[in-house]
Amino acid sequence: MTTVTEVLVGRDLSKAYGNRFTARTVQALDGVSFELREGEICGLVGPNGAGKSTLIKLIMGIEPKDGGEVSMNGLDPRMALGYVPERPTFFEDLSPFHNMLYIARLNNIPEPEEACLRELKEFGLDGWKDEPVVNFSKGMKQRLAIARSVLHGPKALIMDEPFSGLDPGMMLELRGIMRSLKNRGIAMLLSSHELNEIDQLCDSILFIKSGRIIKKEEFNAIVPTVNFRIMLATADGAVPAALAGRKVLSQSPDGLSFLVETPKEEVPDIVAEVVGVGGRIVACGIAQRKAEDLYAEVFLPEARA
Amino acid sequence: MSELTTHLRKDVRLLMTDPMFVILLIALAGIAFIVALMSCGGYVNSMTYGGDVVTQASLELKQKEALSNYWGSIAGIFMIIFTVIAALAMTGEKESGMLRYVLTYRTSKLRFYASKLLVLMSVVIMAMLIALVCYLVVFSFMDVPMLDLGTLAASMVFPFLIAMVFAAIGLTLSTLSDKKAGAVVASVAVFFILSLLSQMSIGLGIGAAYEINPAVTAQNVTEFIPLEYKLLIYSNPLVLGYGTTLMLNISGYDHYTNPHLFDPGWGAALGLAMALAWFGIGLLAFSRERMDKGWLTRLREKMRK
Repeated sequence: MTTVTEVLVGRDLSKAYGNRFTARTVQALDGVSFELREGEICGLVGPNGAGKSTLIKLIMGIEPKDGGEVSMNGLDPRMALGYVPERPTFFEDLSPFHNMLYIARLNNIPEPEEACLRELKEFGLDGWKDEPVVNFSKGMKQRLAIARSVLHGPKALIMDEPFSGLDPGMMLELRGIMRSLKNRGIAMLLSSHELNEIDQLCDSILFIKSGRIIKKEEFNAIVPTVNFRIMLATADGAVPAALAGRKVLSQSPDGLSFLVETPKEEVPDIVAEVVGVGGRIVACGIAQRKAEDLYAEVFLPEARA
Repeated sequence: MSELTTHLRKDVRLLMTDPMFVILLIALAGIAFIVALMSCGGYVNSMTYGGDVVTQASLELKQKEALSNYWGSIAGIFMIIFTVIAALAMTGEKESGMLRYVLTYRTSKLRFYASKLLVLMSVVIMAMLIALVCYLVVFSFMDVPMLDLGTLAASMVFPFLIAMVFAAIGLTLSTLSDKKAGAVVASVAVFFILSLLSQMSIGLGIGAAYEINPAVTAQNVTEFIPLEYKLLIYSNPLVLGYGTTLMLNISGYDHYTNPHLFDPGWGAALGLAMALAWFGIGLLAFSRERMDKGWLTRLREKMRK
């Protein structure tokens, strides 16, 4: 059951693909659960074949689930979800206006023509509203795909690799669009390999591997500890000894840099201890963990093994 | 606006923006014109070289035969053309992924599918009218006496039904293939298999009837055709090709070339039933595109339990 702020909840979603001739089955998803809060942008990250696309297909109902459920506070997901496929498709010979009008009428949107024009203007496509979509660039098609997906006022948006194949300018533009959608209160599940975009946009990340969610990282969560980085001017053997009682996550081979996980209130004590043993600090600060670091932490050790 | 109307408006718009549609209509007009010229030539020829005394009744009979031959040829051409066109009706949207996208919304598949069939029906009617106009133009130009409108309309019933049944078969094939090329190949193959089966089953059935009763006539031949042949004959839509001569009441006494296989009313009902049956089979096949579990999958699961 979803709470008020959770707009999309998946519980124990499972899917296996079978080969009827060899009786071999592949467990594409194995008991995946997740929640998406109102206005939250959640990245879905994992290597190829991890189950990202399968999860999206199950959420959107494109493929039948073997088990589990998708709920949206009692709303019909087909009415309350928007979907931006990896390769957006349109009726290419029709104009963006008529492409959107079809979807608007399917969803019984009141005054569909006005709603379509409003969204086309919002996404900067009103100047091309009568041009066949076949003449559109990839970036314009991506904008149109998003405009179409939010036309019926969904509570959550599922985006499959929206940055794939876009030039840097379009990526920046798309980032702006996604922030404006977040401001509208639309939650987004964003499957992407673009870790920089995940960093820029996401409030949380779901790491998926072999059909299982192996970690969820909340960027803005209130956590009791921080990662504190200290950089010294010269290596000093007394400093590692002073930090011996602390949880040192990493130390550079030259002995000049230390990353320590510590309760936030103890940061001044660490600085005092290092200075106290003669350590000459040139820089220190709380290290913000990035999606790339997290990805490396989660996936690379096993890949190397 | 109802959902069916929404799908219809979209399908009509797609049809009107497709340049192949205009080419198809021009090609159909050209073919119908050539066939009409050939039928008219045959009619004039039969009048010129006939040894009998020309009466109003013989004139009418000859012209009815010409009309029947005309629609026979047109129906043969329509069968293959409409099977192929219908086979492409869905595959275009399937190939692009648009069908899958549309079905992520709360869409009735029955209405989606019915819209395709209704548009095909409209194109069949358009093609029939073009063929009728070509016939009237050619026969008027040759300055031969014209049959009344009732006879002309009656002659169109079975060619229309044949075209509709083959359109429904083509639409069914389009639900089974994800590729346009595959759908075209399948539709041509199905057409030739049905043609072959029709000729074989009618030939063998009449042969078997003759063995049972050597005095068999065109009128009573069906009474002596064994049941297994009857099933093969009446399940094949090509049997409707015998309807026009019966409708125009010009079937002769030769049980091989003009067997009286059904009464016109019964034949029309058979044609309608075939169109509906293929519509149902197509709809069933289309249910494979179902996002969440369809009733067939649910039933299968219940049976497994």
